[in-house]
Amino acid sequence: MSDPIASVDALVSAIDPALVSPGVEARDVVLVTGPWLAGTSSLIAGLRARMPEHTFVEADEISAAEAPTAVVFAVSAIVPMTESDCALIDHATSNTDLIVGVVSKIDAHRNWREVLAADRALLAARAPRYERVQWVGAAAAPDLGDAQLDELVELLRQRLGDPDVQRRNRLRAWENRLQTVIGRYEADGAGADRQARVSALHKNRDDSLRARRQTKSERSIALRSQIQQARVQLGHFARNRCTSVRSELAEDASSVTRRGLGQFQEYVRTRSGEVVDEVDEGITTHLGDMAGQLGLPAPPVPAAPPRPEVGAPPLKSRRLETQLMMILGAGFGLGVAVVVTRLFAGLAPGLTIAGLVVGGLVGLVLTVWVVGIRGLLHDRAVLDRWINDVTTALRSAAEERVATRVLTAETALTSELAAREEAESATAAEQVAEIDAELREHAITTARAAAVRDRRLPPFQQALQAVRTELYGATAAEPANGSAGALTADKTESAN
Amino acid sequence: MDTASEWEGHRIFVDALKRFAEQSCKPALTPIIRRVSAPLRVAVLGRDGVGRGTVELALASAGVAVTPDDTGADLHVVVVAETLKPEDHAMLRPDRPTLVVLNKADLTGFGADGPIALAHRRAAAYRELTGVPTVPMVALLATADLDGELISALHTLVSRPADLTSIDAFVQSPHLLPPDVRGRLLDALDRFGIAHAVVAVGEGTPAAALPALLRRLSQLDRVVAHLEAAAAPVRYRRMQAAIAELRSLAMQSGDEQLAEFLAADETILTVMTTAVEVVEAAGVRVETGDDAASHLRRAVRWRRYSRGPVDALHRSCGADISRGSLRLLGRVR
Repeated sequence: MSDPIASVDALVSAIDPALVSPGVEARDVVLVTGPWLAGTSSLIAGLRARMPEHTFVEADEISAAEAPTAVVFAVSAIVPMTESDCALIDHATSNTDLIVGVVSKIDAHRNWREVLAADRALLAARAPRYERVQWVGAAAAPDLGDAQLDELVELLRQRLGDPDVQRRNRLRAWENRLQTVIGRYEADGAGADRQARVSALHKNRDDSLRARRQTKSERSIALRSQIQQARVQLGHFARNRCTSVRSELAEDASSVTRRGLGQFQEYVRTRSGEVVDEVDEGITTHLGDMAGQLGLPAPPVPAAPPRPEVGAPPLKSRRLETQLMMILGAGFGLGVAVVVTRLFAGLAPGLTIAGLVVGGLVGLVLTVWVVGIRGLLHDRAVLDRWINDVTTALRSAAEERVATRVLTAETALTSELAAREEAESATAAEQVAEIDAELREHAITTARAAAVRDRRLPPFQQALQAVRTELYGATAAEPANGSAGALTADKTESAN
Repeated sequence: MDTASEWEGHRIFVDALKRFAEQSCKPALTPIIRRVSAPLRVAVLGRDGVGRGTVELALASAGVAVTPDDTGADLHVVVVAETLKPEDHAMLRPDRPTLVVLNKADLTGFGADGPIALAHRRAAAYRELTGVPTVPMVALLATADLDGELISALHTLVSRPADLTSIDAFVQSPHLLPPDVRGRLLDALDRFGIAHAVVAVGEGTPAAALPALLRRLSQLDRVVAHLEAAAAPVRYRRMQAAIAELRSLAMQSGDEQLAEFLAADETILTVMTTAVEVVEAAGVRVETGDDAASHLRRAVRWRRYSRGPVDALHRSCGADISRGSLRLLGRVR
């Protein structure tokens, strides 16, 4: 018996012996399908009544691995078909060549003939295999009058009675199968499924490198600017501290008494020591904060700073001045004594002796007082100058401390940063290397898939060509090849 | 849309504003009045073959300002026929008030109570599916133009009924009327319209009353009413914008008269009416009692509503209804 299905399979196997079956099973049923409200159920009921010799099924009664003998695709006559209807017909007829288009409900829609023509043109323009689709109007369950199914029934009988149907359906199944396989090989060869991963990897790689460069420059700029700021701020702080301590000590010096002189010197030494400690502590805190901001460990704190040398104020060396003061004070006292004595002598001549004694005493007391006051004032002036000297020394010591410590911190932080960057670049390089390895792997896999495609595709294409020549004739086969891509996507699942 | 068919609140506001502008002779109000009273532009969308053009014509005949520019339109009308295809769904834009018109309702098929009732049920189902108000329509009948020949053909059909079982049977079956007249009649009215017109003519309806009958059958008025309801938020927003402009104008110019107009009971109540239209169009009922207790209850309820989980439009509407109710309460006391 010359089985048309076997002969088609043999035709394909002759080109590539590995191709034994299109992966679908032919089932002797007529699939009646269509979009919602196209009147499919009444159409199927009418056809079952009129053509009991054939089995009619709806879309949910047939599995994807089964190819119906014929597909009756119904659309409503109310409006021409849409893109979604076309997608539905693509899906329903992927393994079947015999398609009959039905415009339903023609009893109600007065321009059903225009709609039918529009549907025919729309479908024919979609793919060459639809050019042979025959369209009829039908009214399976009119509200009034009789059903109009004669034309459809007659067309179906004639088409189903065609002995070539099985062969053509098998060819169509093969065409779909080969298209799917070719499509899959081409997608593999082009690395389509890997494309997303590969582009994500490229992006990761670029991001990683850019982030690396960016953080590096950002960090060194931040460190430099922070160090400069620290230098300026700490210098300012040290100077301010010295100025304020100077004014504070000057005030104290202006009210120091003769007895408090020794204590005051001690006090000045303590204060200057305190200020040095304060400044050092301020430097430590500031540098620690700065390092914390940069995410680096605080720079090491050197040993406590040396106290500035504070000598004693030059209070003792003033013999000449004392002598001069003694003479001037004695003169002043003598003058006062004479005036007092003369006053007593003028007022009460009997008290001349007493006046002499009182005048002498008053002159002596004033002499001692004036000399003493002058000495104290002199000491205060000397102290003030001394404080100036002390604070100047203190200031230079503090500034030196600031400069030294900032410099030390800069060195420490820079080297720490360098070490850290070294470690990070190593990590980044490792990441990039990993990404590169994966990219290489993908490239190799894609190249391998392309090689497989190049090796495997020619027999498939040849088989497809042969199938198409059988199906559409020699002339139609070539252009049909071009439109294969559009149909590939939605057939992948139905063919598997 | 023309002023006559506009909803109450907005129309009263525009009229009051116009009156105020005339009395106080303020030219600055003219552009604001023009903006607030501008007709709402409606864009009619739909796939080819669903009768978009016919619906456009029918809406235009009902006084709707139809615009071909769908990006600049205030409202969208999406025309569908029979089913909702993915292509129809894609035309529904969430950012624009939309009305779906289920055209060719006469061709829905005879249910237990006729094609229009079936179309209503189907429209309700589509509304469930999309969340967009959907109304059936027979746009063909709204624009039907019957000349003398067709009227006399209808009279002939009264005495000599033709085969109406299918459109082909109607044109091709042997009958007194020439087939081309029957074809013209079919193009003008389709089977549904012919059947109704023949019954009406048989009952003695004068030819002049036929267009009104057909318009009633076409459901045009219902479509326009739904369109008005869908437009309620647009009108409310326009009114709000106008009031904001008027307020800033009153502040800038120190115009006490205008400030008084804006704070008057009438203005507040008009705003409330418009807000009520918005919430009722969205399906929320507003109680209508006219005594102190119900005003208070309404004020409290809508105050709470405006603080509830609702969008900005409804928040503002709730506040306006509450404010208006308090004014009414003040009046009653």
